[in-house]
Amino acid sequence: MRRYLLNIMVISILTGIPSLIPAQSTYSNSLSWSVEDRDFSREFLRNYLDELYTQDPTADTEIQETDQLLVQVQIGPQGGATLEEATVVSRGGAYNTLSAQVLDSLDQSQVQALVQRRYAWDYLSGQQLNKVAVTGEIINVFQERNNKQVRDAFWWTHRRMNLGALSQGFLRIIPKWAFMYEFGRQDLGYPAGVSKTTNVGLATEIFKVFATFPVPYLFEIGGGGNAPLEGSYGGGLKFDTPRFGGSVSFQDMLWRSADDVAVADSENVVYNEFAGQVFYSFTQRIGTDDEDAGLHIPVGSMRIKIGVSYIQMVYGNSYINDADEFRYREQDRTDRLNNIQAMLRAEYASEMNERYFNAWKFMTQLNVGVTGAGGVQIGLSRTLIEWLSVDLMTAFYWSGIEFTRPDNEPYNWNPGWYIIPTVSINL
Amino acid sequence: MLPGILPLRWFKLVLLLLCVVYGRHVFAQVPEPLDQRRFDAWSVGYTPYRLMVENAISGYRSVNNDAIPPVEPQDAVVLVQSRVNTNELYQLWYGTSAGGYTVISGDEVRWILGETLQEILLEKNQYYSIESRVPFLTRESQPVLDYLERKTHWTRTDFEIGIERSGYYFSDQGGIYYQWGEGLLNRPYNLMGLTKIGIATPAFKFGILTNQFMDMVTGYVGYRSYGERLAGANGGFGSFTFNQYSGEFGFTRNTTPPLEDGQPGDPVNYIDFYSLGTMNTGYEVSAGIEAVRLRLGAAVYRVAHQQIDSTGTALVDQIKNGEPADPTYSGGLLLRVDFATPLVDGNYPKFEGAVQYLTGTGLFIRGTYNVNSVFSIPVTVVAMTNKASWDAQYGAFLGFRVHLGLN
Repeated sequence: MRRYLLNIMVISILTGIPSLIPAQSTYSNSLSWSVEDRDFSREFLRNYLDELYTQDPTADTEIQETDQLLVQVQIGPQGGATLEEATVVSRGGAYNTLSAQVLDSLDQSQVQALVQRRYAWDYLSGQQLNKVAVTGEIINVFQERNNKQVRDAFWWTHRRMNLGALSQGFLRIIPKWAFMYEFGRQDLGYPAGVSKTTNVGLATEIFKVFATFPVPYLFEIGGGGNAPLEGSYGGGLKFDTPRFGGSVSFQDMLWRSADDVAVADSENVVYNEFAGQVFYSFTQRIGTDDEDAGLHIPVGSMRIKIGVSYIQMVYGNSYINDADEFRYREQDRTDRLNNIQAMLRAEYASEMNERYFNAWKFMTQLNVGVTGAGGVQIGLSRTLIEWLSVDLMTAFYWSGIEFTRPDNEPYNWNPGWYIIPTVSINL
Repeated sequence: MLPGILPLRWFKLVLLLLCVVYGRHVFAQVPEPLDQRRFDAWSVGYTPYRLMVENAISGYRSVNNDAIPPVEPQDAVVLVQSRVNTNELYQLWYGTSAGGYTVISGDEVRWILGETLQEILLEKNQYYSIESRVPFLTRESQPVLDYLERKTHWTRTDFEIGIERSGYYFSDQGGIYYQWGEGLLNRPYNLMGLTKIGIATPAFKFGILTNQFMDMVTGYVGYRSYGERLAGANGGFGSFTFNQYSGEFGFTRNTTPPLEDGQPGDPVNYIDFYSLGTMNTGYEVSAGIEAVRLRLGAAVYRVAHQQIDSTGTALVDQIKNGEPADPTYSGGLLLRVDFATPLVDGNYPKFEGAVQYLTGTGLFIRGTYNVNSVFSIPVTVVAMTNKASWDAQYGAFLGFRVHLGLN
């Protein structure tokens, strides 16, 4: 109680903070489930039918002993559970509610055994929940599982190995964590090709910690762009919980050496010195499994992320000095207001099969700065056969960033348009 | 000497410490009541699944007249799986080390959880789960060791106010906090020049680094001038803990004088990068103190050298030999020992302490007297063995902590 009062008090003071708090309880005044112990449900329904025919020998009912039994129980305010409703589902999918009058006439020890749930049971599926009038707030196990699947599909892999040629890869030698690599920074709006970086590190269920390295320019199709973001050495941390996620990362040009991959244009070097991001997310079930529906979205989950990024861009020139050392001379940097970007991202993954494969994955992300600058990414992934999937990522930036040199000459860095196809191997 | 890396004496020390850290796994006794060779045990850290377990227990209690104890928000929920029968859960444990555990076995586990939730929970590698030793311990509980382990990265309170650290923790899953300086770098309080403000969870923390509050309030920490102490800066940090490993990094960058009191030409030195990594292990001991926790690792930080420009409004690099001055790296190997006396009322130790040595930097000693479960007085002493112009030779700090809602 003391803990609760304290929580309430502080939450009241910190206006706005409550939205950060995940739901800690899902109190419901009713419970519902499906009886999975077939022996138990058969015996119960046999007794029910016996009582029904005792009361009305001419009763006409579709209920059979082999039907699936669904139970709904009411929890009283002082505790104590009473049977509110019992429904059966026939093999053909028909729902029939058991008669309350007959249930009341049954030996109450049988009803009590049904209510006490000392047998194998399971949660109601979404369809069953719709058919059975359930009151109270529901956290459904199937929904939580689906939410997690779409999150995991973009966070890492449920397979032992997922290696993308130009995107990201995971090697889960030890199941609890994985070696990871990631070209570019898709989460910040600069995927492979647009950012000459690769992050290499460890991924766990809840966070990733990585070191950043400069990599050569990958490739660009589409043209019209300027040089991509240059890369250097650095590091970062990302996390992704059911509702909240974020990242913090940095790079330092001081750590580059003359032996590293060359910058594309030494007179105009733009890189992301540091970045931070936080987002809120929620997931929705979408799609249909009706194969006769023509072109349709397969059943899956869509996760929406809404967040804000702080991305510090630095402009300068580089040179190799007399001691054969790489040197970077900063000329300008984006101001704090222009570092802030709103982020809206949608991730869709079709339902994962029992071998942990998603047939389809789709994402799109919009980044918009306070001055209207920004870009959009769209990515699509299709698993062709279990071990091979093809991915296509496109990124477009409708405006660049204007820097000013010390001599007041402007330099407009415009990333342009990129199409990045790749393949992934899943084992 | 190990070629180019460590002097021989340091190499021996590291070897010895590695043996100490890992030796416990080799020489661990066969635990009871469950045989560790035959069972796997883990706690559910993924919040939605954890809530579903709590709801399932609550539901089972509702329909069975509270036949089993309730699960509390601060309880650990531990699942046990037999290595012989991997298709179902063998036991369900919930509770705390100090308060004891409720153990559910056999069919009752299935009756409580339901089939699909049990199937999901069995896939422990597909959600945030933490290996648990609780069902294998020879003693029912090791509360002091748990106390120290929990404090290594997380907290034991809901709400704490202190000079060095304050925080509000919404639940056992997360909270917001600030911290002044970083003790693991031998730079607690104002010795770092920075404050961390961020989000904390048992697995990771992240947030921003900014000028220390004292500077922001007063405009100046008055006893030393700009060039003789580390200034503040703005940036970010991230830290994580994973099994017995933990790590942290932070970075900052200043483009304008961090405070208003500097004069043109004043040097501004500040930490613009730090990183540390440790591996941790704990032991129960006797002789006054109940448990010790060892941390072995490395820590390094870099001090950037800039100066206020002629206009007094911007920072520029200090120039040495015609080139921007190279930053200064400090740090090295880190060894830290935390210890605590037996818990009072299962809640808090009367005395806890820490001794830490960071090569190339110095010594850190802290003793904390817990007056009661709410009020603590930590005393910290730092001695620099490799003093730079921006360092004090010694530092002594008297603090306080108030913590409410002890878990």
